Amino acid sequence: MNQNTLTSQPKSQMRWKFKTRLQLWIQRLAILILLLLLWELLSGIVIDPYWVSEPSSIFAVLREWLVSGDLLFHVWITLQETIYGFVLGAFVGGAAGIWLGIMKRLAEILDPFIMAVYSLPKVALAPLFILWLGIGIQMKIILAAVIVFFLVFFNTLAGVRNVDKDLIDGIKLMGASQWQLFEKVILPSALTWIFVGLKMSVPYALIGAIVGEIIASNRGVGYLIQYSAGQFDTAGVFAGLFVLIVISTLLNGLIKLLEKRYMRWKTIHQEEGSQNA
Amino acid sequence: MDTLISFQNVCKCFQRNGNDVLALQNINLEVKKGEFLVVIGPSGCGKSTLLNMIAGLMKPTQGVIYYGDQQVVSINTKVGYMTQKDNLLPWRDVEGNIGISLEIKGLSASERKAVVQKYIELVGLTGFENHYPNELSGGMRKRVCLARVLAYNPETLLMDEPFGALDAQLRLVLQGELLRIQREMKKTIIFITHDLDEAVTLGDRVVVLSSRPGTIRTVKKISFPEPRNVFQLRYTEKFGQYHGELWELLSEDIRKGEKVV
Ligand SMILES: Nc1ncnc2c1ncn2[C@@H]1O[C@H](COP(=O)(O)OP(=O)(O)OP(=O)(O)O)[C@@H](O)[C@H]1O
Ligand SMILES: [Mg+2]
Repeated sequence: MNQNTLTSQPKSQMRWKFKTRLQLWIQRLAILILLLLLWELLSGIVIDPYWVSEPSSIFAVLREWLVSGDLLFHVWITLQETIYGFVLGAFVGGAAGIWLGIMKRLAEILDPFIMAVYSLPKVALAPLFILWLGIGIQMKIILAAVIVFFLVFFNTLAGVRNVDKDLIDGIKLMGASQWQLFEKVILPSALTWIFVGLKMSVPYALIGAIVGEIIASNRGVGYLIQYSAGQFDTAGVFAGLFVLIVISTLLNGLIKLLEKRYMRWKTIHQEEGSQNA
Repeated sequence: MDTLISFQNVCKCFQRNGNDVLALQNINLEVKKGEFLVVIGPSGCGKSTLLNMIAGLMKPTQGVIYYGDQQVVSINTKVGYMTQKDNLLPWRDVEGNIGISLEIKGLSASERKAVVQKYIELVGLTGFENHYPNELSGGMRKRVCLARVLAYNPETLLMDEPFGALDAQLRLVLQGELLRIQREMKKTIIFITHDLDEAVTLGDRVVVLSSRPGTIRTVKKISFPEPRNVFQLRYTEKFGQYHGELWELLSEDIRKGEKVV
Protein backbone atom coordinates (compact mmCIF):
# COMPACT_ATOMS: atom_id res chain seq x y z
CA MET A 1 0.00 0.00 0.00
CA ASN A 2 2.38 2.75 1.11
CA GLN A 3 5.44 1.29 -0.46
CA ASN A 4 6.66 4.62 -1.73
CA THR A 5 6.52 6.56 1.50
CA LEU A 6 10.25 7.12 1.44
CA THR A 7 10.60 8.30 -2.12
CA SER A 8 7.43 10.23 -2.78
CA GLN A 9 7.11 13.84 -1.76
CA PRO A 10 4.26 16.24 -1.27
CA LYS A 11 3.15 18.04 -4.41
CA SER A 12 4.27 21.50 -3.39
CA GLN A 13 7.75 20.27 -2.74
CA MET A 14 7.87 18.57 -6.08
CA ARG A 15 6.79 21.72 -7.85
CA TRP A 16 9.46 23.64 -6.01
CA LYS A 17 12.06 21.13 -7.08
CA PHE A 18 10.91 21.35 -10.67
CA LYS A 19 11.23 25.12 -10.55
CA THR A 20 14.78 25.08 -9.25
CA ARG A 21 15.73 22.53 -11.85
CA LEU A 22 14.22 24.62 -14.59
CA GLN A 23 16.19 27.60 -13.34
CA LEU A 24 19.34 25.52 -13.34
CA TRP A 25 18.86 24.56 -16.96
CA ILE A 26 18.08 28.14 -18.00
CA GLN A 27 21.30 29.27 -16.37
CA ARG A 28 23.29 26.57 -18.12
CA LEU A 29 21.73 27.45 -21.46
CA ALA A 30 22.53 31.13 -20.92
CA ILE A 31 26.18 30.35 -20.32
CA LEU A 32 26.33 28.20 -23.44
CA ILE A 33 24.79 30.91 -25.61
CA LEU A 34 27.08 33.50 -24.10
CA LEU A 35 30.18 31.43 -24.82
CA LEU A 36 29.13 30.70 -28.40
CA LEU A 37 28.36 34.37 -28.99
CA LEU A 38 31.69 35.44 -27.56
CA TRP A 39 33.49 32.86 -29.67
CA GLU A 40 31.69 34.02 -32.81
CA LEU A 41 32.36 37.72 -32.13
CA LEU A 42 36.02 37.30 -31.19
CA SER A 43 36.64 35.05 -34.16
CA GLY A 44 38.70 36.92 -36.71
CA ILE A 45 39.70 39.54 -34.11
CA VAL A 46 41.41 37.61 -31.33
CA ILE A 47 40.91 34.00 -32.43
CA ASP A 48 42.25 32.86 -35.78
CA PRO A 49 39.40 31.02 -37.54
CA TYR A 50 41.94 29.03 -39.54
CA TRP A 51 42.95 27.14 -36.39
CA VAL A 52 39.83 27.28 -34.26
CA SER A 53 37.03 27.97 -36.74
CA GLU A 54 33.84 29.65 -35.51
CA PRO A 55 30.39 28.46 -34.46
CA SER A 56 28.64 29.63 -37.61
CA SER A 57 30.95 27.70 -39.94
CA ILE A 58 30.82 24.61 -37.72
CA PHE A 59 27.08 24.80 -37.81
CA ALA A 60 27.16 25.16 -41.57
CA VAL A 61 29.29 22.03 -41.91
CA LEU A 62 26.97 20.10 -39.63
CA ARG A 63 23.99 21.14 -41.73
CA GLU A 64 25.72 20.17 -44.91
CA TRP A 65 26.53 16.70 -43.50
CA LEU A 66 23.01 16.31 -42.31
CA VAL A 67 21.44 17.26 -45.62
CA SER A 68 23.77 15.06 -47.67
CA GLY A 69 23.09 12.07 -45.42
CA ASP A 70 26.80 11.76 -44.56
CA LEU A 71 26.20 12.47 -40.90
CA LEU A 72 23.75 9.66 -40.37
CA PHE A 73 25.89 7.24 -42.35
CA HIS A 74 29.07 7.87 -40.38
CA VAL A 75 27.35 8.10 -36.98
CA TRP A 76 25.64 4.79 -37.66
CA ILE A 77 28.98 3.13 -38.49
CA THR A 78 30.58 4.42 -35.30
CA LEU A 79 27.58 3.44 -33.21
CA GLN A 80 27.60 -0.07 -34.60
CA GLU A 81 31.29 -0.50 -33.84
CA THR A 82 30.80 0.83 -30.33
CA ILE A 83 27.76 -1.27 -29.53
CA TYR A 84 29.02 -4.52 -31.02
CA GLY A 85 32.41 -4.02 -29.41
CA PHE A 86 30.79 -3.26 -26.09
CA VAL A 87 28.44 -6.22 -26.16
CA LEU A 88 31.14 -8.64 -27.25
CA GLY A 89 33.68 -7.42 -24.70
CA ALA A 90 31.11 -7.26 -21.92
CA PHE A 91 29.83 -10.79 -22.48
CA VAL A 92 33.21 -12.42 -22.77
CA GLY A 93 34.64 -10.30 -19.94
CA GLY A 94 31.69 -10.98 -17.65
CA ALA A 95 31.72 -14.71 -18.33
CA ALA A 96 35.48 -14.95 -17.83
CA GLY A 97 35.25 -12.90 -14.63
CA ILE A 98 32.56 -15.12 -13.16
CA TRP A 99 34.37 -18.27 -14.20
CA LEU A 100 37.73 -17.26 -12.74
CA GLY A 101 36.00 -15.82 -9.69
CA ILE A 102 34.65 -19.26 -8.91
CA MET A 103 37.75 -21.22 -9.97
CA LYS A 104 39.98 -19.66 -7.37
CA ARG A 105 42.96 -21.92 -7.97
CA LEU A 106 42.92 -21.39 -11.72
CA ALA A 107 42.69 -17.64 -11.22
CA GLU A 108 45.76 -17.74 -9.02
CA ILE A 109 47.74 -19.69 -11.61
CA LEU A 110 46.71 -17.41 -14.46
CA ASP A 111 47.12 -14.18 -12.53
CA PRO A 112 50.58 -13.11 -13.87
CA PHE A 113 49.55 -13.83 -17.45
CA ILE A 114 46.37 -11.84 -17.11
CA MET A 115 48.24 -8.93 -15.58
CA ALA A 116 50.82 -9.02 -18.37
CA VAL A 117 48.18 -8.73 -21.06
CA TYR A 118 46.30 -6.14 -19.02
CA SER A 119 49.35 -3.90 -18.67
CA LEU A 120 49.66 -3.69 -22.43
CA PRO A 121 48.12 -0.47 -23.81
CA LYS A 122 45.32 -2.04 -25.81
CA VAL A 123 45.45 0.60 -28.55
CA ALA A 124 48.86 -0.76 -29.52
CA LEU A 125 47.08 -3.88 -30.73
CA ALA A 126 45.39 -1.92 -33.53
CA PRO A 127 48.06 -2.62 -36.19
CA LEU A 128 47.82 -6.33 -35.43
CA PHE A 129 44.06 -6.30 -35.81
CA ILE A 130 44.41 -4.42 -39.11
CA LEU A 131 46.74 -7.13 -40.27
CA TRP A 132 44.29 -9.83 -39.32
CA LEU A 133 40.97 -8.23 -40.18
CA GLY A 134 41.67 -5.41 -42.61
CA ILE A 135 40.46 -1.84 -42.13
CA GLY A 136 36.76 -2.65 -42.05
CA ILE A 137 34.30 -2.45 -39.20
CA GLN A 138 35.44 -5.77 -37.64
CA MET A 139 38.79 -4.38 -36.62
CA LYS A 140 37.18 -1.52 -34.68
CA ILE A 141 34.76 -3.89 -33.04
CA ILE A 142 37.58 -6.11 -31.84
CA LEU A 143 39.63 -3.15 -30.64
CA ALA A 144 36.69 -1.79 -28.65
CA ALA A 145 35.85 -5.28 -27.37
CA VAL A 146 39.38 -5.90 -26.06
CA ILE A 147 39.34 -2.65 -24.10
CA VAL A 148 35.87 -3.36 -22.71
CA PHE A 149 36.80 -6.96 -21.93
CA PHE A 150 39.40 -6.05 -19.34
CA LEU A 151 37.31 -3.44 -17.61
CA VAL A 152 34.33 -5.77 -17.27
CA PHE A 153 36.51 -8.78 -16.50
CA PHE A 154 38.33 -7.20 -13.57
CA ASN A 155 35.20 -5.69 -12.09
CA THR A 156 33.31 -8.95 -12.36
CA LEU A 157 36.20 -10.88 -10.82
CA ALA A 158 36.38 -8.43 -7.92
CA GLY A 159 32.61 -8.61 -7.53
CA VAL A 160 32.56 -12.40 -7.31
CA ARG A 161 35.50 -12.40 -4.92
CA ASN A 162 34.04 -9.77 -2.65
CA VAL A 163 30.74 -11.40 -1.89
CA ASP A 164 30.07 -11.01 1.83
CA LYS A 165 30.99 -14.28 3.53
CA ASP A 166 28.15 -13.89 6.02
CA LEU A 167 25.61 -13.81 3.19
CA ILE A 168 27.06 -17.00 1.75
CA ASP A 169 27.03 -18.72 5.15
CA GLY A 170 23.47 -17.60 5.76
CA ILE A 171 22.15 -19.15 2.60
CA LYS A 172 24.23 -22.31 2.91
CA LEU A 173 22.66 -22.87 6.32
CA MET A 174 19.27 -22.84 4.63
CA GLY A 175 20.39 -25.80 2.54
CA ALA A 176 21.05 -24.03 -0.75
CA SER A 177 22.65 -26.03 -3.56
CA GLN A 178 25.76 -24.76 -5.34
CA TRP A 179 23.66 -23.41 -8.17
CA GLN A 180 21.23 -21.67 -5.79
CA LEU A 181 24.17 -20.17 -3.95
CA PHE A 182 25.44 -18.78 -7.23
CA GLU A 183 22.10 -17.58 -8.51
CA LYS A 184 20.73 -16.11 -5.27
CA VAL A 185 23.84 -14.62 -3.68
CA ILE A 186 27.01 -14.57 -5.74
CA LEU A 187 25.57 -13.26 -9.00
CA PRO A 188 23.29 -10.55 -7.56
CA SER A 189 26.02 -9.42 -5.22
CA ALA A 190 28.57 -9.26 -8.02
CA LEU A 191 26.05 -7.46 -10.21
CA THR A 192 26.73 -4.09 -8.61
CA TRP A 193 30.40 -4.45 -9.46
CA ILE A 194 29.64 -5.76 -12.92
CA PHE A 195 27.43 -2.75 -13.48
CA VAL A 196 30.23 -0.40 -12.48
CA GLY A 197 32.45 -2.15 -15.03
CA LEU A 198 29.78 -1.89 -17.73
CA LYS A 199 29.17 1.76 -16.99
CA MET A 200 32.86 2.58 -17.09
CA SER A 201 33.41 0.76 -20.33
CA VAL A 202 30.77 2.49 -22.47
CA PRO A 203 32.96 5.55 -23.11
CA TYR A 204 35.95 3.24 -23.62
CA ALA A 205 34.09 1.29 -26.28
CA LEU A 206 33.60 4.58 -28.09
CA ILE A 207 37.28 5.39 -27.66
CA GLY A 208 38.21 2.02 -29.17
CA ALA A 209 35.97 2.60 -32.17
CA ILE A 210 37.17 6.16 -32.76
CA VAL A 211 40.86 5.33 -32.36
CA GLY A 212 40.42 2.47 -34.79
CA GLU A 213 38.75 4.79 -37.28
CA ILE A 214 41.43 7.43 -36.94
CA ILE A 215 44.21 4.92 -37.47
CA ALA A 216 42.77 3.32 -40.56
CA SER A 217 39.35 3.56 -42.17
CA ASN A 218 37.20 5.20 -44.75
CA ARG A 219 34.06 5.70 -42.72
CA GLY A 220 32.83 6.59 -39.23
CA VAL A 221 32.98 9.78 -37.15
CA GLY A 222 36.67 9.23 -36.39
CA TYR A 223 37.31 9.09 -40.10
CA LEU A 224 35.33 12.33 -40.59
CA ILE A 225 37.55 14.09 -38.07
CA GLN A 226 40.73 12.62 -39.48
CA TYR A 227 39.71 13.42 -43.05
CA SER A 228 38.71 17.02 -42.20
CA ALA A 229 42.00 17.58 -40.44
CA GLY A 230 43.82 16.25 -43.49
CA GLN A 231 42.00 18.85 -45.61
CA PHE A 232 42.86 21.63 -43.10
CA ASP A 233 39.12 21.98 -42.59
CA THR A 234 39.00 23.09 -38.94
CA ALA A 235 35.27 23.59 -39.00
CA GLY A 236 34.89 19.97 -40.07
CA VAL A 237 37.10 18.79 -37.20
CA PHE A 238 35.07 20.74 -34.66
CA ALA A 239 31.83 19.52 -36.18
CA GLY A 240 33.09 15.95 -35.82
CA LEU A 241 34.05 16.55 -32.19
CA PHE A 242 30.63 18.03 -31.53
CA VAL A 243 28.98 14.93 -32.94
CA LEU A 244 31.14 12.78 -30.66
CA ILE A 245 30.10 14.78 -27.62
CA VAL A 246 26.47 14.25 -28.50
CA ILE A 247 26.94 10.50 -29.03
CA SER A 248 28.80 9.91 -25.76
CA THR A 249 26.39 12.06 -23.75
CA LEU A 250 23.46 10.08 -25.10
CA LEU A 251 25.16 6.77 -24.34
CA ASN A 252 25.94 7.84 -20.78
CA GLY A 253 22.38 9.04 -20.30
CA LEU A 254 21.09 5.66 -21.44
CA ILE A 255 23.32 3.85 -18.93
CA LYS A 256 22.16 6.14 -16.12
CA LEU A 257 18.56 5.39 -16.98
CA LEU A 258 19.15 1.63 -16.94
CA GLU A 259 20.99 1.86 -13.64
CA LYS A 260 18.18 3.80 -12.01
CA ARG A 261 15.78 1.16 -13.14
CA TYR A 262 17.62 -1.99 -12.17
CA MET A 263 19.62 -0.91 -9.16
CA ARG A 264 16.79 0.58 -7.17
CA TRP A 265 17.92 -0.95 -3.91
CA LYS A 266 21.29 0.70 -4.31
CA THR A 267 20.34 4.13 -5.57
CA ILE A 268 17.47 5.01 -3.28
CA HIS A 269 19.52 7.03 -0.88
CA GLN A 270 21.67 8.68 -3.46
CA GLU A 271 18.87 9.98 -5.61
CA GLU A 272 18.32 13.20 -3.73
CA GLY A 273 21.95 14.25 -3.89
CA SER A 274 22.74 13.06 -7.37
CA GLN A 275 20.47 15.49 -9.12
CA ASN A 276 23.01 18.24 -8.84
CA ALA A 277 25.89 16.04 -9.80
CA MET B 1 14.15 -35.45 27.42
CA ASP B 2 16.72 -36.58 24.85
CA THR B 3 19.93 -34.75 24.28
CA LEU B 4 20.00 -33.02 20.91
CA ILE B 5 23.28 -31.13 20.99
CA SER B 6 26.27 -31.99 23.08
CA PHE B 7 29.63 -30.30 23.61
CA GLN B 8 32.42 -32.58 24.78
CA ASN B 9 35.54 -30.88 26.12
CA VAL B 10 35.31 -28.16 23.51
CA CYS B 11 37.99 -25.46 23.30
CA LYS B 12 38.14 -22.75 20.68
CA CYS B 13 41.29 -20.84 20.02
CA PHE B 14 41.68 -18.09 17.41
CA GLN B 15 44.93 -17.25 15.69
CA ARG B 16 45.49 -13.53 15.34
CA ASN B 17 48.79 -12.35 13.84
CA GLY B 18 50.61 -15.26 15.40
CA ASN B 19 48.99 -14.73 18.80
CA ASP B 20 46.58 -17.24 20.20
CA VAL B 21 43.31 -15.94 21.56
CA LEU B 22 41.61 -18.53 23.69
CA ALA B 23 37.90 -17.83 23.34
CA LEU B 24 36.27 -20.89 24.91
CA GLN B 25 37.69 -23.48 27.27
CA ASN B 26 36.47 -26.84 28.53
CA ILE B 27 32.92 -26.55 27.39
CA ASN B 28 30.81 -29.55 28.37
CA LEU B 29 27.16 -28.99 27.74
CA GLU B 30 24.09 -30.97 26.79
CA VAL B 31 21.21 -29.22 25.08
CA LYS B 32 17.98 -31.14 25.35
CA LYS B 33 15.48 -31.58 22.58
CA GLY B 34 12.69 -29.05 22.86
CA GLU B 35 14.35 -26.92 25.50
CA PHE B 36 14.76 -23.17 25.53
CA LEU B 37 18.37 -22.62 26.52
CA VAL B 38 19.56 -19.09 27.22
CA VAL B 39 23.24 -18.16 27.23
CA ILE B 40 24.49 -15.10 29.08
CA GLY B 41 27.97 -13.82 29.79
CA PRO B 42 30.20 -10.78 29.50
CA SER B 43 30.89 -9.28 26.08
CA GLY B 44 33.62 -11.13 24.21
CA CYS B 45 33.38 -14.33 26.26
CA GLY B 46 32.60 -16.53 23.28
CA LYS B 47 28.82 -16.73 23.08
CA SER B 48 28.59 -16.09 19.35
CA THR B 49 31.49 -18.50 18.84
CA LEU B 50 29.44 -21.18 20.59
CA LEU B 51 26.57 -20.75 18.11
CA ASN B 52 28.94 -20.58 15.14
CA MET B 53 30.28 -23.97 16.11
CA ILE B 54 26.84 -25.53 16.40
CA ALA B 55 26.01 -24.17 12.95
CA GLY B 56 29.21 -25.68 11.61
CA LEU B 57 30.61 -22.33 10.52
CA MET B 58 33.59 -22.74 12.86
CA LYS B 59 35.39 -25.85 14.00
CA PRO B 60 36.37 -26.43 17.61
CA THR B 61 40.13 -26.41 18.21
CA GLN B 62 39.72 -29.29 20.63
CA GLY B 63 36.84 -31.57 21.52
CA VAL B 64 33.77 -32.51 19.53
CA ILE B 65 30.23 -31.28 19.08
CA TYR B 66 27.41 -33.67 18.34
CA TYR B 67 24.13 -32.72 16.77
CA GLY B 68 21.70 -35.62 17.12
CA ASP B 69 23.94 -38.63 16.69
CA GLN B 70 26.26 -36.98 14.21
CA GLN B 71 29.38 -34.99 14.80
CA VAL B 72 29.18 -31.44 13.42
CA VAL B 73 31.91 -31.17 10.83
CA SER B 74 30.42 -28.89 8.18
CA ILE B 75 27.46 -26.57 7.60
CA ASN B 76 24.57 -27.81 9.74
CA THR B 77 21.34 -27.23 7.84
CA LYS B 78 19.21 -28.55 10.69
CA VAL B 79 19.58 -25.20 12.44
CA GLY B 80 18.27 -21.77 11.58
CA TYR B 81 20.73 -19.12 12.64
CA MET B 82 19.74 -15.55 13.42
CA THR B 83 23.15 -13.92 13.69
CA GLN B 84 24.13 -10.97 15.85
CA LYS B 85 24.76 -8.85 12.76
CA ASP B 86 21.86 -8.89 10.37
CA ASN B 87 22.81 -10.52 7.08
CA LEU B 88 19.86 -9.65 4.87
CA LEU B 89 20.36 -9.66 1.14
CA PRO B 90 20.41 -5.95 0.26
CA TRP B 91 19.04 -6.47 -3.26
CA ARG B 92 15.94 -8.28 -2.03
CA ASP B 93 12.99 -6.54 -0.46
CA VAL B 94 11.46 -7.63 2.84
CA GLU B 95 9.24 -10.24 1.21
CA GLY B 96 12.09 -11.61 -0.88
CA ASN B 97 14.35 -11.91 2.13
CA ILE B 98 11.82 -13.67 4.33
CA GLY B 99 10.81 -16.07 1.60
CA ILE B 100 14.28 -17.08 0.48
CA SER B 101 14.41 -20.36 2.37
CA LEU B 102 11.08 -21.31 0.84
CA GLU B 103 12.47 -20.57 -2.62
CA ILE B 104 15.35 -22.88 -1.83
CA LYS B 105 12.91 -25.58 -0.80
CA GLY B 106 11.16 -25.11 -4.11
CA LEU B 107 7.78 -23.75 -2.99
CA SER B 108 5.70 -21.95 -5.60
CA ALA B 109 5.23 -18.19 -5.46
CA SER B 110 1.70 -18.44 -4.09
CA GLU B 111 2.66 -20.92 -1.40
CA ARG B 112 5.51 -18.66 -0.37
CA LYS B 113 3.31 -15.61 -0.29
CA ALA B 114 1.00 -17.08 2.34
CA VAL B 115 3.81 -18.10 4.69
CA VAL B 116 5.70 -14.85 4.23
CA GLN B 117 2.59 -12.80 4.90
CA LYS B 118 1.96 -14.69 8.12
CA TYR B 119 5.40 -13.90 9.51
CA ILE B 120 5.38 -10.32 8.29
CA GLU B 121 2.26 -9.83 10.36
CA LEU B 122 3.79 -11.64 13.31
CA VAL B 123 6.77 -9.29 13.48
CA GLY B 124 4.62 -6.23 12.76
CA LEU B 125 6.02 -5.23 9.40
CA THR B 126 2.78 -5.09 7.44
CA GLY B 127 3.05 -2.38 4.80
CA PHE B 128 6.80 -2.76 4.44
CA GLU B 129 6.71 -5.86 2.21
CA ASN B 130 8.42 -4.11 -0.67
CA HIS B 131 10.98 -2.10 1.22
CA TYR B 132 14.65 -2.84 0.80
CA PRO B 133 16.89 -3.42 3.84
CA ASN B 134 18.57 -0.03 3.47
CA GLU B 135 15.16 1.59 3.79
CA LEU B 136 14.55 0.00 7.19
CA SER B 137 15.66 0.88 10.71
CA GLY B 138 18.01 -1.41 12.63
CA GLY B 139 15.19 -2.86 14.69
CA MET B 140 13.06 -3.45 11.62
CA ARG B 141 15.91 -5.31 9.97
CA LYS B 142 16.22 -7.54 13.03
CA ARG B 143 12.52 -8.30 12.79
CA VAL B 144 12.95 -9.28 9.14
CA CYS B 145 15.73 -11.64 10.25
CA LEU B 146 13.41 -13.10 12.86
CA ALA B 147 10.64 -13.61 10.33
CA ARG B 148 13.12 -15.18 7.93
CA VAL B 149 14.40 -17.72 10.43
CA LEU B 150 10.87 -18.58 11.53
CA ALA B 151 9.78 -19.03 7.92
CA TYR B 152 12.69 -21.42 7.43
CA ASN B 153 11.12 -23.41 10.24
CA PRO B 154 14.17 -25.40 11.32
CA GLU B 155 14.31 -28.02 14.04
CA THR B 156 16.64 -25.85 16.11
CA LEU B 157 16.89 -22.08 16.30
CA LEU B 158 20.14 -20.31 17.15
CA MET B 159 19.44 -16.72 18.10
CA ASP B 160 22.15 -14.22 18.90
CA GLU B 161 20.65 -11.23 20.72
CA PRO B 162 17.62 -11.17 18.45
CA PHE B 163 15.71 -8.52 20.40
CA GLY B 164 18.60 -6.26 21.37
CA ALA B 165 17.65 -3.43 19.03
CA LEU B 166 13.94 -3.32 19.88
CA ASP B 167 11.92 -1.10 22.19
CA ALA B 168 10.67 -2.55 25.47
CA GLN B 169 7.05 -3.12 24.40
CA LEU B 170 7.82 -4.75 21.10
CA ARG B 171 10.43 -6.89 22.78
CA LEU B 172 7.87 -8.25 25.22
CA VAL B 173 5.42 -8.97 22.44
CA LEU B 174 7.98 -10.85 20.41
CA GLN B 175 9.27 -12.72 23.44
CA GLY B 176 5.73 -13.92 23.98
CA GLU B 177 5.35 -14.98 20.36
CA LEU B 178 8.66 -16.81 20.34
CA LEU B 179 7.81 -18.64 23.53
CA ARG B 180 4.42 -19.61 22.14
CA ILE B 181 5.93 -20.92 18.90
CA GLN B 182 8.63 -22.78 20.78
CA ARG B 183 6.16 -24.51 23.10
CA GLU B 184 3.65 -25.28 20.35
CA MET B 185 6.12 -26.66 17.86
CA LYS B 186 8.54 -28.15 20.39
CA LYS B 187 11.52 -26.31 18.92
CA THR B 188 14.93 -26.34 20.48
CA ILE B 189 16.21 -22.82 20.92
CA ILE B 190 19.61 -21.54 21.97
CA PHE B 191 19.24 -17.90 22.70
CA ILE B 192 21.95 -15.36 23.57
CA THR B 193 21.07 -12.20 25.45
CA HIS B 194 22.59 -9.52 27.66
CA ASP B 195 19.26 -8.83 29.28
CA LEU B 196 18.71 -10.77 32.52
CA ASP B 197 14.96 -10.13 32.48
CA GLU B 198 14.83 -11.72 29.07
CA ALA B 199 16.96 -14.64 30.21
CA VAL B 200 14.68 -15.42 33.15
CA THR B 201 11.49 -14.86 31.16
CA LEU B 202 12.39 -17.22 28.32
CA GLY B 203 14.88 -19.77 29.59
CA ASP B 204 14.20 -23.30 30.73
CA ARG B 205 17.85 -23.20 31.66
CA VAL B 206 20.32 -20.34 31.66
CA VAL B 207 24.00 -20.98 30.94
CA VAL B 208 26.25 -18.41 32.60
CA LEU B 209 29.65 -18.04 30.94
CA SER B 210 32.68 -16.49 32.58
CA SER B 211 34.68 -13.75 30.90
CA ARG B 212 37.30 -14.77 28.35
CA PRO B 213 38.45 -17.47 28.12
CA GLY B 214 34.81 -18.45 28.38
CA THR B 215 34.02 -21.38 30.63
CA ILE B 216 30.68 -22.51 31.93
CA ARG B 217 30.26 -20.96 35.34
CA THR B 218 26.83 -22.37 36.12
CA VAL B 219 23.78 -23.74 34.43
CA LYS B 220 20.73 -22.39 36.19
CA LYS B 221 17.39 -24.15 35.91
CA ILE B 222 14.40 -21.82 35.65
CA SER B 223 10.91 -23.10 36.27
CA PHE B 224 7.60 -21.27 36.27
CA PRO B 225 4.08 -22.60 36.01
CA GLU B 226 3.18 -23.03 32.35
CA PRO B 227 2.07 -21.34 30.22
CA ARG B 228 4.38 -18.45 31.07
CA ASN B 229 2.97 -14.99 30.67
CA VAL B 230 5.81 -12.73 29.62
CA PHE B 231 3.95 -9.62 30.78
CA GLN B 232 3.24 -10.77 34.31
CA LEU B 233 6.12 -13.07 35.09
CA ARG B 234 8.37 -10.20 36.06
CA TYR B 235 6.17 -9.21 38.95
CA THR B 236 6.40 -12.58 40.67
CA GLU B 237 8.68 -13.18 43.62
CA LYS B 238 10.40 -16.12 41.99
CA PHE B 239 11.38 -13.95 39.03
CA GLY B 240 13.16 -11.55 41.33
CA GLN B 241 15.01 -14.39 42.98
CA TYR B 242 16.27 -15.86 39.71
CA HIS B 243 17.22 -12.42 38.51
CA GLY B 244 19.19 -11.76 41.69
CA GLU B 245 21.06 -15.05 41.50
CA LEU B 246 22.06 -14.53 37.89
CA TRP B 247 23.10 -10.99 38.65
CA GLU B 248 25.37 -12.23 41.43
CA LEU B 249 27.00 -14.78 39.13
CA LEU B 250 27.64 -12.19 36.44
CA SER B 251 28.82 -9.42 38.69
CA GLU B 252 31.77 -11.47 39.93
CA ASP B 253 33.13 -11.07 36.45
CA ILE B 254 32.28 -7.42 36.28
CA ARG B 255 34.27 -6.76 39.46
CA LYS B 256 37.16 -8.77 38.08
CA GLY B 257 36.95 -6.84 34.83
CA GLU B 258 37.20 -3.51 36.62
CA LYS B 259 40.40 -4.55 38.34
CA VAL B 260 42.05 -5.43 35.05
CA VAL B 261 41.14 -2.07 33.55
N1 LIG C 1 36.96 -14.79 13.60
C1 LIG C 1 37.65 -14.47 14.70
N2 LIG C 1 38.98 -14.32 14.64
C2 LIG C 1 39.69 -14.00 15.74
N3 LIG C 1 39.15 -13.83 16.96
C3 LIG C 1 37.82 -13.97 17.08
C4 LIG C 1 37.00 -14.29 15.96
N4 LIG C 1 35.71 -14.36 16.37
C5 LIG C 1 35.74 -14.09 17.68
N5 LIG C 1 36.99 -13.86 18.12
C6 LIG C 1 37.40 -13.57 19.49
O1 LIG C 1 36.79 -14.53 20.33
C7 LIG C 1 36.27 -13.94 21.48
C8 LIG C 1 34.81 -14.30 21.63
O2 LIG C 1 34.07 -13.72 20.58
P1 LIG C 1 32.49 -13.81 20.48
O3 LIG C 1 32.07 -13.07 19.26
O4 LIG C 1 32.10 -15.23 20.55
O5 LIG C 1 32.03 -13.04 21.78
P2 LIG C 1 30.56 -12.79 22.34
O6 LIG C 1 30.46 -13.48 23.65
O7 LIG C 1 29.57 -13.12 21.31
O8 LIG C 1 30.59 -11.22 22.61
P3 LIG C 1 29.38 -10.17 22.46
O9 LIG C 1 28.49 -10.36 23.62
O10 LIG C 1 30.09 -8.85 22.52
O11 LIG C 1 28.74 -10.43 21.16
C9 LIG C 1 36.52 -12.46 21.37
O12 LIG C 1 37.60 -12.14 22.22
C10 LIG C 1 36.90 -12.23 19.94
O13 LIG C 1 37.90 -11.28 19.87
MG1 LIG D 1 28.37 -12.09 20.12
